[in-house]
Amino acid sequence: MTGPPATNKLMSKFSFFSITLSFISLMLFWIAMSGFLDAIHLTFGVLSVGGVLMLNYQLKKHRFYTDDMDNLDELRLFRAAYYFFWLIYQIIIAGFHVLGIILRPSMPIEPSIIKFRVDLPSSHAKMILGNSITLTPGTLTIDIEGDLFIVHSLDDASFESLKNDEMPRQVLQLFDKEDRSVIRDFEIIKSAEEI
Amino acid sequence: MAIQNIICIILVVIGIVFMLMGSIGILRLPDFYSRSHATSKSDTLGILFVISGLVVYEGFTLSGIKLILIILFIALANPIGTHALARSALQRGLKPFFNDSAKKGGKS
Repeated sequence: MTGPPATNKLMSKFSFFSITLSFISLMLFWIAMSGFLDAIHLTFGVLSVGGVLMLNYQLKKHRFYTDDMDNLDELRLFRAAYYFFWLIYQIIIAGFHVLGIILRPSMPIEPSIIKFRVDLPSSHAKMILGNSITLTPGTLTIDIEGDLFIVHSLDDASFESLKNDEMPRQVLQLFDKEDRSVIRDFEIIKSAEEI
Repeated sequence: MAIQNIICIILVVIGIVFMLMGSIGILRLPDFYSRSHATSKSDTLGILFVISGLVVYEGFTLSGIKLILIILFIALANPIGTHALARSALQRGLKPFFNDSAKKGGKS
């Protein structure tokens, strides 16, 4: 991204709204941590939050990738709440699956590397998908290069929700109303020569 | 109160089972990548269960909110740490273990 859009987005990271939002959330965090509401503790809180915002200034100024931004305007909040509980359900299901694999005496693991490309609107969506894959037991995001995901999987049942496009679609639904297929070029590698 | 205690005990026991499974997994699984499945994910799940048990025990108090924040931070930090480890391992050229390399008797 070059020229004006980049500067606009950089400005939006330091807008009044953005800074106020960070201040309020950090202040709420302080109050939850301290639990006191008298003047002295609140003053210390304001000073600490100011210090944190100053320290964060350099971090926020740096652009780690091209569509780096702070606002979550595109995120559909109700969908996000649904996704959160759906993800917890998936994690628990997969956790019991891996539990069964490890505790079985024969230990029927079948490690494989999966490569696929995704068609997601933003880096945030890719980040959410990558973290969800890693949080689900049995699958582990090794690398994300552009839109290429490299995932290590413990056995064949573990990557089922990736193969039938279930989890990527849920992530797409977080940002986008339309329902389309997200992944393409799905590739399973099961021998050391193909890497 | 009794129901609260029972739910707490059940959640903590499930969490301990998952952490035990993580420890067994480190010993049994063959290579770095599969071991990081066992350590990171099962441990995360175990800690999440144990802490949610403590949240149920504590109720909706200030400590309960702090525990929920701990759950949130662990759930955010753990996949990133695992991903960083696995990524640097692959970039340094550590080959994953596959079933066919075991049959040939090659080094994994």
